Amino acid sequence: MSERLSAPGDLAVWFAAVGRVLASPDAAAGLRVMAEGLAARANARSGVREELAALWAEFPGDPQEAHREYVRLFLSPGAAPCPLWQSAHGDEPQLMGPSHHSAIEWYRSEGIEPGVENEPADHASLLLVFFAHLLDSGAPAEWIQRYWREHLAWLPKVLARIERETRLPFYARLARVTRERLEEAEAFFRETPA
Amino acid sequence: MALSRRGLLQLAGAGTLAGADRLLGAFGDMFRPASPLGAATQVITACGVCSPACGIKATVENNALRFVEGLEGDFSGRGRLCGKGAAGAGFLYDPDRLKYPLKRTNPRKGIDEDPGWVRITWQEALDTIAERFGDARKRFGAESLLFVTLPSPDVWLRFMNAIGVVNRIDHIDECFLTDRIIQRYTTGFKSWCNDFENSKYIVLFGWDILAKAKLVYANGIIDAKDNGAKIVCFNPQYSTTARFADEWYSIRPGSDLAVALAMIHVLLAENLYNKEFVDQYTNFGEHENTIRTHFAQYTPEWAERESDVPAEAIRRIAREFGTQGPAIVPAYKKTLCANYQNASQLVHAISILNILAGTIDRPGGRYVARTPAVPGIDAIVPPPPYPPKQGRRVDGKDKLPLVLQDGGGMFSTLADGILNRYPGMIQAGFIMNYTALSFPQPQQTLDALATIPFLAVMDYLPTDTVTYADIALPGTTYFEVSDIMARDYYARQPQYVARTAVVSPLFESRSPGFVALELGKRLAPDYFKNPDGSWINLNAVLDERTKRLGLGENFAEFRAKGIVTREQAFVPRTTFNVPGTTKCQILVPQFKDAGGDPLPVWRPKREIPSAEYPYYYLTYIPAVHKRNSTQNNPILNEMMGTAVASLNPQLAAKLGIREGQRVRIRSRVGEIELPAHLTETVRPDCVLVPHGFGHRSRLLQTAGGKGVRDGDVIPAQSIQQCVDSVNFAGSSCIMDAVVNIEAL
Ligand code: SF4
Repeated sequence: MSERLSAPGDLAVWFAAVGRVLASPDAAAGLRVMAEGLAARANARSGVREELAALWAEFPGDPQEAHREYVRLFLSPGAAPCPLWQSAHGDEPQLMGPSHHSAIEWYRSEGIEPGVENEPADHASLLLVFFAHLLDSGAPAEWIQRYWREHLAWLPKVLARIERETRLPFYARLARVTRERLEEAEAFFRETPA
Repeated sequence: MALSRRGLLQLAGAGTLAGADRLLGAFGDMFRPASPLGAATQVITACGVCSPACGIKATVENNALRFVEGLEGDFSGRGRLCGKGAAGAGFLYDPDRLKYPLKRTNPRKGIDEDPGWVRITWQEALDTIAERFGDARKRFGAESLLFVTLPSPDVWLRFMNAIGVVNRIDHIDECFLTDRIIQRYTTGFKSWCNDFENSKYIVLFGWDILAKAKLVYANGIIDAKDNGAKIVCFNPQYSTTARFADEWYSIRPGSDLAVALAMIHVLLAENLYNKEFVDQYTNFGEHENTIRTHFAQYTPEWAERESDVPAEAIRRIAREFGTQGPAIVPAYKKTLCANYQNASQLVHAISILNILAGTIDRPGGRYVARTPAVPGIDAIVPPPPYPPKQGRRVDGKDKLPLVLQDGGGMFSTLADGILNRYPGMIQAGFIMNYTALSFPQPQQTLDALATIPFLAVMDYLPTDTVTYADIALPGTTYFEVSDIMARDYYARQPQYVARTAVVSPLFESRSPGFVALELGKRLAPDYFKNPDGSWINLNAVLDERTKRLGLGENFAEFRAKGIVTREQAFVPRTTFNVPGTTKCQILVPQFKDAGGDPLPVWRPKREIPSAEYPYYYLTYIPAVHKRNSTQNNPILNEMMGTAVASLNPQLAAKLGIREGQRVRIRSRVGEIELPAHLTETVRPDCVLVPHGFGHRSRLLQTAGGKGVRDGDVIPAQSIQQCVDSVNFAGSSCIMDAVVNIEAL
């Protein structure tokens, strides 16, 4: 897969878009503008443009449908418990657990913090946008590897679950492509000497 | 982890964070420049899992709770926390918490229906609730509104009073309602204070003090034993406390009343009561003949036939009780006040034993907390006169005058009221912090709730009841609110502890006080204004409470101290605040007027073993849980995550049940299936099942789908059944069931 990757920046585009979409039930509705803008910047060979366009094509005509599905999957997980907080997936599921504190440390190392204070910092949306930032800003491979290990390794499994559990092709595609792209990024940096 | 990459952004030439083009805004939308880090601090607060509210020292770092420990000098926990208290962060940080207000889009309601939640703003949630409640009140009267909630915080009560609510229901008929009513007319006070430390003789009917793990009582009973007290325990189960006690009797379920009556018989017949106290402070003299004649019939030999406790033991225990120094029979919540149909009579008999021991508000007895109560919001901002309470009572409590006067509600009759007695009456319901498991026959309650056209539920977790809500509101945990805790479980001298919001409310959770105020502004604005016309501010009210109690100029000042204890000598009461008199009452004429028994009469429990249902069904609350509210806590769930049915090996052999084998337990109202556990500690005619399991909500990832609901086999009741059975102080009969058991 990694031969498709022209630059980490292209992956950044995808993760920034997905991170933004996963931030709230209505964020996806605002995706189109951002997706188009981001796609324009992605290298044609990376496939990110097409993937974003294909993802958008799956967005339901009634945005409420996407909203309801978001709430069902991530906020009140119905039959499909897919919470998006990293610490909800540890050995001892708990919000604001060690991964929250570690994520804060990562953000602070870049001089930033989450815009919302009273929510855990290890939400997939924050983690993905920050990952996009690391990729986009040319962070050294060892850091990216470490970040992946510490904060993203849990995500592919949850994305696979979302893919299985969702009733909307939009989230199924989003989950599948993000999972593939995460694996791709991981492989790329594993192969890249530090 | 040691990272020092600050400035990478600039080095990499990627521009500044605030740049509009930075990943097209995704970055700037979600992050901001870091603010300076604060150091870790220690904050004093109070546990909120159970009511003694043990003091906590909380370590907080960057708005995150890191650690909790007990608070030295605190009367409740004495520097320690029990397992539930120590696991407190698991409530605050439960991943399943309700996070935002939600609105249902699927009109079909059922435990397995997907509500089709959508996230809404608080504004929309509050406006919708106010509109639906206002509309129902206008069209159908105040009786059409149902509030299933405790009367606290007091701004809630103000809100309900302001809109004329007559149907406020709470769980206390399963808890201490009966005791509160009986105490009011016998000693004049309902208290949580038992002076075990100074007691020389402690008789426990059922209450497994040690296993309940309420620290303040567990400490008390351990101290009592260290101080040489004798502890006698009547319980069909060889409980933790039974093992600790000096004597244990495997009593027949529901017959504690017989033993208590026979103890009174002996104390009176042999004149072993505290004559000085009884003559001076009770109405014994006025009714001596009636009282003596009444109890003459309840001999220990008679009691033995009802209870399986040997007559000789009852006689000896009564004699020791009357002669060995300060003696006490504590009554406690679910353990007995609510268990059986004869609870009113039992609690009355217990109160008489304490009166005869002469330990009412005396060392070694039940006493009135010396901590002055926190002034209510109505004292601080007096409201306009409340509208009269008019309308039918859905729980039927108007049929039980003493319950009506008390003001508490009845869980056990609610479903019957909604479904059968007054179908269609309730048009809008609000449930706060109660789940269906709290009720006998929980499914019937859920079915009843499903008939209410509009239901709002506030909780911090997505419980089974939340699944039925039209609007779900995310509530706070005790770590996210501030209040003054007046010590009332151990309070020979006044003590206050500051409950402090150690972190800001997570996500969009809000406190019940906030909701009451906001609904109040919308539905009864005149009641939520200060004299100058501005809206009431709850922080200002808290400051004023603090000031009036002399704890500080404002709450911040009190919070900085954390705990305030006042030196004060314990002066026993010489007058008692009993309606119509200043003396304790043994014979209570008001009970007769209210359709009850002026002196406790032997009445059997509701359900008696039969050929079809030959065994007694007992329930208990495990030490690591608080009712049905803690099973989703990962730590507590790991300690005990599901239910088993405990059976005596003798009974198991008879029924062909092996350890771990699944059994079906069936009563006249329902059945449950669960694994059996064989233990010598339960009487061979009983089966013991823990309360609190069997949550069905799929949104509870830890507790959902684990175990069974003990209430599925416990019959709910109708108000007429209470009247007919002289259950005049409204016991919910929460353990009054008999069952059939079969191996699967
Ligand atoms: S006894 Fe335990 S649960 Fe109850 S207040 Fe104390 S620490 Fe909390």
